[in-house]
Amino acid sequence: MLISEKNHRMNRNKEILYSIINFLNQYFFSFIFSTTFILVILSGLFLGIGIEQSTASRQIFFNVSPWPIYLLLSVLTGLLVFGVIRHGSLWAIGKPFNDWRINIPWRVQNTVRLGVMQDKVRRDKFASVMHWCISSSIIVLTFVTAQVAIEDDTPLHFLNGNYYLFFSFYGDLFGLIGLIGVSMALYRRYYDDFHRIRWDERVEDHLILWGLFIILISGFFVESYRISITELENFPEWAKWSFVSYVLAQFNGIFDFSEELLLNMHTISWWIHVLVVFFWLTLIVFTKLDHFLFAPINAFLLRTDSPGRLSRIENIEEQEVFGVGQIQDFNWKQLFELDACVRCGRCTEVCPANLAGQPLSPMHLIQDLKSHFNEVAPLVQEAGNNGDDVRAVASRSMVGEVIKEETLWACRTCGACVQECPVMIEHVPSIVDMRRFLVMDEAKIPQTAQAALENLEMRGHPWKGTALERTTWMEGLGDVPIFDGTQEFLYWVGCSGSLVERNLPITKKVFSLIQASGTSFGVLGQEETCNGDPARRLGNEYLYQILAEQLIDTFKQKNVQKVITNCPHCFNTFKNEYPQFDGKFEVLHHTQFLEQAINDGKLEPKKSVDLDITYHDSCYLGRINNEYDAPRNILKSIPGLNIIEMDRTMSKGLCCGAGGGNMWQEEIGARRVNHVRSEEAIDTGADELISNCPFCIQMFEDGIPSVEPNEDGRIKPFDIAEVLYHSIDSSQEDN
Amino acid sequence: MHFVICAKQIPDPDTPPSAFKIDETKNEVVPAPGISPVLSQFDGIAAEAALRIKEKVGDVKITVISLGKESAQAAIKQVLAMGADEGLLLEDDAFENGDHYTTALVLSEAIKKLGDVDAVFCGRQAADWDMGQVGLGIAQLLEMPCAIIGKDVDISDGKMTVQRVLLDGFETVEMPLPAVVTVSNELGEPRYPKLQQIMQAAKKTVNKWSLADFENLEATQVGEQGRKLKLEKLFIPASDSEVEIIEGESAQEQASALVSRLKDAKIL
Amino acid sequence: MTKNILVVGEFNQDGLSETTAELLTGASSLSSGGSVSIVLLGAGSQEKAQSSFSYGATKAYTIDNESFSEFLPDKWAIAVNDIYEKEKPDLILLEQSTVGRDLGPRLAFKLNSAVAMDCVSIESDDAGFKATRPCFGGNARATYSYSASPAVATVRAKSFEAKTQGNENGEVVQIDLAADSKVSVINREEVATEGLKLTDAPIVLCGGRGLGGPEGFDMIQELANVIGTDKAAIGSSRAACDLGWYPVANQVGLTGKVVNPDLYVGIAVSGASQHMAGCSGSKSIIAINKDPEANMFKSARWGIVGDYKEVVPALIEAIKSS
Repeated sequence: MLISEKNHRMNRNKEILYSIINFLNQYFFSFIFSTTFILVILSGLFLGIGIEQSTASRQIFFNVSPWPIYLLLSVLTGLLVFGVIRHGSLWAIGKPFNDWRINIPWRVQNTVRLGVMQDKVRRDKFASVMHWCISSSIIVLTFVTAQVAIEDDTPLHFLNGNYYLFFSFYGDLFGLIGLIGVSMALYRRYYDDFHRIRWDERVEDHLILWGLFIILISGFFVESYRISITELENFPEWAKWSFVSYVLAQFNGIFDFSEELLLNMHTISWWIHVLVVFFWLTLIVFTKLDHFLFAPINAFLLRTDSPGRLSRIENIEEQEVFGVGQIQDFNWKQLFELDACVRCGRCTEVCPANLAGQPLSPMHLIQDLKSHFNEVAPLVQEAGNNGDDVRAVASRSMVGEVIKEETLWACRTCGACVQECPVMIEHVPSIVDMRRFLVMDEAKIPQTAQAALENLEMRGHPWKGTALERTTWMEGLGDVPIFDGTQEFLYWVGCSGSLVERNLPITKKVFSLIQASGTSFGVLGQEETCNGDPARRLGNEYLYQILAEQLIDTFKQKNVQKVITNCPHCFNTFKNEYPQFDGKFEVLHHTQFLEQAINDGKLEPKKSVDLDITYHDSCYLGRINNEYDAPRNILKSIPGLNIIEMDRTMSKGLCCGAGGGNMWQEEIGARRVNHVRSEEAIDTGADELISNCPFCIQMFEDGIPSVEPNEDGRIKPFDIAEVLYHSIDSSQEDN
Repeated sequence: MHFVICAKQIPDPDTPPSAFKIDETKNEVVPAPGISPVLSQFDGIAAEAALRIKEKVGDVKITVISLGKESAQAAIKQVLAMGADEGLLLEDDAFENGDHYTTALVLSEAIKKLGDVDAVFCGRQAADWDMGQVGLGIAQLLEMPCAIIGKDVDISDGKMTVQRVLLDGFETVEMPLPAVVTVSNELGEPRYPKLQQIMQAAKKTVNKWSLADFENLEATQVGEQGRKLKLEKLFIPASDSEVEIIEGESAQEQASALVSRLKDAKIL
Repeated sequence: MTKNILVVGEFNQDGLSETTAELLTGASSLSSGGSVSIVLLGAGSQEKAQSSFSYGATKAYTIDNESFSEFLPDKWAIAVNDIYEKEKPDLILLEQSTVGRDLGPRLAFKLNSAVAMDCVSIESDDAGFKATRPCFGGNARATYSYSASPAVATVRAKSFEAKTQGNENGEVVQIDLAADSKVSVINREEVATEGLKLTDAPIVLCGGRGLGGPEGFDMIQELANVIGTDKAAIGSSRAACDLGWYPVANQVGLTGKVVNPDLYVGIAVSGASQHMAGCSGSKSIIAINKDPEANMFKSARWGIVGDYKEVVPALIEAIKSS
């Protein structure tokens, strides 16, 4: 199940191919999307106004009887209804999920943007073109077929004249587009040196692809025989509008088939076409093809609040089970998601744990949960109906056996999987839900993480054995203002900012920069305690709630309104999670504050810093809180500084390895995540690696020397505040 | 069976050295600001040892006893959360400022009063005074056999088997119940309590016994008055050495500078 | 005022233990002319008793009997108690060893008196004895006086200096005593330390949690090989032992071994006070650590701030080439 990524280098040919795809990806969508809609509108126009009426038309179903279609259609409808009800009743074993009722307009927008426009699919450029070709072709051709049915079986008649010709044209066009998409898919599934879609390959993947291929090809053949028989000789001008089938029909002509043979071939190919179509459509009920229903629905169900917010367990003391220990402990949205997964592997491809050869693959996690769900959910349902103990039905424990403990602990909560998932699955909340069960219900937790949690309980910070005090960083800074409610900002230093040696200079510099900007602010000093973030990510929601409620009380007592944090994790907790506990504060990460101060002219980076640097987006500032610009703007404002981006950057940035409480865990697996990321930073050839998070800095301080033992010219990790300070402080000598 | 765990609440041994202060006029440790007292870590391990046996044997009642101030309830609750059944706080002004003898005396009287105790589990030493004698004292006063510094404890057939850590090896000893054992960190970390247990422990009432509950004890025998060891002076030893940080452009330079220092000092 | 002191001695095939010799020397200066006696238990004790006289003992009580060869604390307590009754000393000194830390408190409670454990110095004046010992994980020291008699103390190795007193003669009293132990030893395994014993080595190289993994100890082993395995032994911090990187028998610190070598090298050891309690008696300490604020620098004579992965190989090269 463990997948290590092969570092695949693209050869020259591929580069050309990918540059074409790149181009298409940029312009194709506007093209396809507008074309589809223009076609619909134009159809209407042709239909209604009938510019320049012509007599062109055709005999619908001229050679075959349409009744089997309706028989098959009713079977298919029955199957679809059965499938939806069956699935629906199984999802219903989950806990309530009521969030879908709020922010409906936003959800509708998500459905259009992520479900219909397929925004996430576009993150892989090849797949984006391929998928759009296929999906637009299916939509248009369904529309085409529906028109044929209406023409034949209702009193409405419109497939004549110019519209008929136009209809023939776009039917063939989208058939061709579909074939292009299918060819791309075939290329990738069978010829390309491409891994992720084969990490969990199944028979259905081949069936779906070949089925679609046969449908499109047979469709063209059916049409070509019809054209050969009915149009080619009598109405050659009409036939040209069906430009693909027209070409095929020319081949029929070359072989000089008899009309009887052509009629037979038409019948045979028509039957093949129809039967494969219906076979293929039934795959919706049984295979991942269901994603074309589930993906837009899941887009609708997608959270509308920050991905950095984990759910609050209400009335935690009254719960019978803490977190998710069995399949029915998930809410129905989490169960629904399992069915939406298409096994594309995008999540696993970007997962930092997986990249380091550690025992977590988000795709396999979802798939393992899905098979467990399929196995256990009917039993749970039955036990529920019979009034039996639903917790006794599963033969294997979900947390521990189906999903291994080390798998859950390897997660960094970095959100890369969630970011990439084209069907909007949210892996991280489910993983943390299972951690909650491990920690609170079973008290199973890796030793080092346990030590961090115990330290949080006993000492209010996770840094067991630190020799520093919360006020140590203040030494040498003169009078440090203590926050008393009169100042505008609270500068929140955080545990790492005050209790970990490496971060002290950063804290000092952020402090000095805020001071230099002339802002009114204070610190809490000895009164700071952990805000609970590590407890929450490690699954101890109970401890988190205690710590959070205490701190919110302190903030309110002290009349805190605006907070500047050192650490993106504190930032995320204050900004996104404290409002769940009625703690609403205006929160800025120090990079946001500093950018603003530079924009306002309160800080002016003057001194040139002639360095090549690369910038590492911390997950909790970047991907999770969508702040990519503020830090880069600061860097751009520093004269002389040259930014070299890493290959994985911005929303595709790779975690440093510390997130999700992994700062306090021994890593299990082939490599360490911080070594992988350090290599990527080293590969840029930059002098300094700039980040914005105390955890990232610590991970790089450890990771860089491990992968690059040679000290000479080795890249060094710094916080953005350290660089900025250097550029602002005129008293400093160059060094 | 009935086990007793002796638990002590102590000033946090993880206090940063810079925050560790002593009031030399009172011969007392000044509590560091914002740092709460904790359960002595070896006592948590003693609880772990007792609980492991309870899990194996089944029908065991575990009472956790602490001699201390009201705040020691927190230490008791912590062990209750781990899985102990009952808590008992021995609290009285008369008990305060005792030494190890008076502590062992009061604890042993309490164990006697509980009556049916089969085994007593203590930490190898409390991480404040680091004496390591209360367990042995209880055993001596109750005339029970005792094994100290155990890394593995087991009870079966009315016998306690203890694997002990020696300075140069290990030793396995066996003794009849009732017996006292003191355990060391080699046994493993204390368990992380389940949330259900934490909440149950929070609801449990801790019994309290004061001097009046002990017929055999007089105020003169316990606490400050009963001390046999008088604390004359508590101080922070002056550190005499001033470190010389060996600087250098590279590790090679630093290393050769250090080696030449060692040669000069005739150490190498 | 003269004082009578009883030392509970320890010995092996080679003779009296070094610490016992130190205790005898210390006792004879503390006694101000009073008697210094020693008790030695087990087979061969009579023979070994002879050497105790040269360190200042005037009388040796022995139970030269196989049945006392194995250390069974409750049985030994009965024997020492018996000798106490004969000698009525004012002070009983024991080593802070496997024997002392088990026997000391038993004796004190048996005698209805008090014991100070792990003392680093003992003084005597007219009022009695004062014992000083580290506490609070090595952060503090406490000095105690006794308000009960006899005073009992276990003493850390090297707290006194062993000196011969030019006296070769004394009285050996062979005691005949039978006692039972409620505790039976089923199995005893010594962890064989290759070559030099940690407590005897003039140079101790100690690795800590900062090594990041057991492989760090391989590098330290290499350094020990270069220095010479007849001089250098390897220790480990408790954190590293708890992580299973190095055998517990080599743990240095409050709950492990106390070492007092000529040179102690802490490699990626943060130097928590509990660790320093086991090595602060070293003549010189070198701290090698990435973190310039690591506590060990505070007690060190020399320090190198740097990654051990670079510093240790450099040291190996530097020693090889010197």
